[in-house]
Amino acid sequence: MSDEETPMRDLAALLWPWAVWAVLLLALTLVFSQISPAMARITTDTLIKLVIVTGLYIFVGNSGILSFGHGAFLIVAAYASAWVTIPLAMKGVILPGLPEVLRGLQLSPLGGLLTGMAVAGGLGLLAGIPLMRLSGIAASIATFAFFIVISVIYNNWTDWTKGTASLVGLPTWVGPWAALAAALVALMIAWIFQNSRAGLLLRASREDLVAAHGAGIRVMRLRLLAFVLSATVAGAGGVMLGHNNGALTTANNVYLNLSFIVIAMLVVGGIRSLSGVVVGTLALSVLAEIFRRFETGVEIGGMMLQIPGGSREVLLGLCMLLALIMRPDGLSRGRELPVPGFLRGGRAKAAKTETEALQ
Amino acid sequence: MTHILTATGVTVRFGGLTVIDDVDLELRPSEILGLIGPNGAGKTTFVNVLSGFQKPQTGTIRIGSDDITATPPDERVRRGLLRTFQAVRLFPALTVAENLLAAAFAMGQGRKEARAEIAVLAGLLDLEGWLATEARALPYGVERRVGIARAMMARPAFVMLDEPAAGMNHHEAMAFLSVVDAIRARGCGILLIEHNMDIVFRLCDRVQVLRSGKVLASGTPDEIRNHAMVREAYLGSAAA
Repeated sequence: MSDEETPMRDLAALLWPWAVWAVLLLALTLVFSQISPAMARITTDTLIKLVIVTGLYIFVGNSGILSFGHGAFLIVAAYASAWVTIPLAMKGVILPGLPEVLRGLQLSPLGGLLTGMAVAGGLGLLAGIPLMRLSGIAASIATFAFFIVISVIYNNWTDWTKGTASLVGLPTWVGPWAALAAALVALMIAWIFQNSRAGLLLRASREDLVAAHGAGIRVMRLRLLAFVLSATVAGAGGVMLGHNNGALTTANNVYLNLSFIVIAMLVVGGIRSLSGVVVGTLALSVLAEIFRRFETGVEIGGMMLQIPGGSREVLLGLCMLLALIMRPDGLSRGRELPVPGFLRGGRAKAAKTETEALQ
Repeated sequence: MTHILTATGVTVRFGGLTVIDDVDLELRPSEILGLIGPNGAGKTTFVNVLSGFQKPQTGTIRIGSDDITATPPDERVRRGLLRTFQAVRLFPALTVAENLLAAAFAMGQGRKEARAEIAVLAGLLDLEGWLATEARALPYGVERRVGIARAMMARPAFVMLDEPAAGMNHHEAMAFLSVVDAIRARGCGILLIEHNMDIVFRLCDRVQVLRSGKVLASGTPDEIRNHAMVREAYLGSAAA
């Protein structure tokens, strides 16, 4: 709003927080992926989770409606990619029940990724039309019901999914660098959406729904847009999970547990900022890894310390509980990384200083 | 073409209680119409009906010849009918500038156009020093001014100000007079709900008095000031 501001400086200021996180993630990936194959796997897993949490954040962070249903988008995207990327010879044996058109289709990894994202986005559109009419806890419960419906369908759709058995044969093209690229793109999409006109209007409706209607904001339309975008990005995470493991299964509440961890990451980091997404994902990934190692047994000073299997989820749950009690706004307190003074417009800086002085 | 905001035969009942009873109202462009009455008279409920937040049991609301009785609130805004809230209701985690930008974006205005409008309204409402402040950190008087600015960002044809001077000190209330005049100068029709009779009688072209959901009287400020029943029911010595 000042003559001193330039478009380039505006753009640099806009992209600053994303760029900082990008450099940090790049550095972490560079370091940890070199330590050992096991650490490279953990790094990949963390970055994939970051894609999923970012996808979830696009809807939850901007609309204020907590979704328990995003696991459904992971499932449909992962299986859609599997159907079009498993090698033809293997597909004919593993999934003889697939329709001819799919059995004869072999796409590249990118083709599989885009297919999975498109299917997740399409499902987001279909489900979002009725779901986005709801608000508050009713909307959250409805998203969970939606997840259960999709989960049960895929569990019993044995011709296409092999039900609770493992679907193997997915090309394993996802490693730390592919996951990092996906995470950076996901964060960029989320950041651009958050700062777009639609993002601002949706955040306004998150703050006060009645006032948003009173200001002429078309809330349902914006929620639907965010839900579809969110499903598409989360779907990318689902695809990458499958192509990281090389196998898929809907058995043993895999996606329910994953959904819980992803929501915990968002809540612990801070549901109202993209910085919270990064902080929460990294913090809980580190904790989850520590807890996992204690589950298998850790030797400290000649003593073997071991916690019972399943403790990891319990301890992560406690972390979320602690975060909700002690820092309801999350570790980031809902703030984004500050833009340094040299990138801020002169007048905006003056206004901020004046405001701070008044307060 | 000059459009008039018209409410005809509006009745609102909550269960067995009639809170608005067959009320008519007409608001013209550049006119300031005061809506006054004791607490519980139904003023805010009537504004809720006009803005689409409350469905009336009977009656019609029109802008010009268009019947908007069944039109949702956000659509009424796009037709030029704005309101402020008694409790202000800003978007607390957004800055003042973002609150105003959101109102402009909702109307389809471009970023550059919106920024120019923000600069004008910030000057008019003395908000320049607050644009980067989150709305939840604002003092009460500033909060109210931002509420008015947010409504004005939509460039409304009609705006309903629900107790805009509530909680303002004398100095702020007097400064507020020039703000309302400036809004009128933009060709905007204003429905002013206010308990400060000094402001109402200074600003309004006409005044309509509600009591127990019914129109008790309607006329110029002088007529209302001297209306025996209004003095007895509401004004008391304030009009003296």
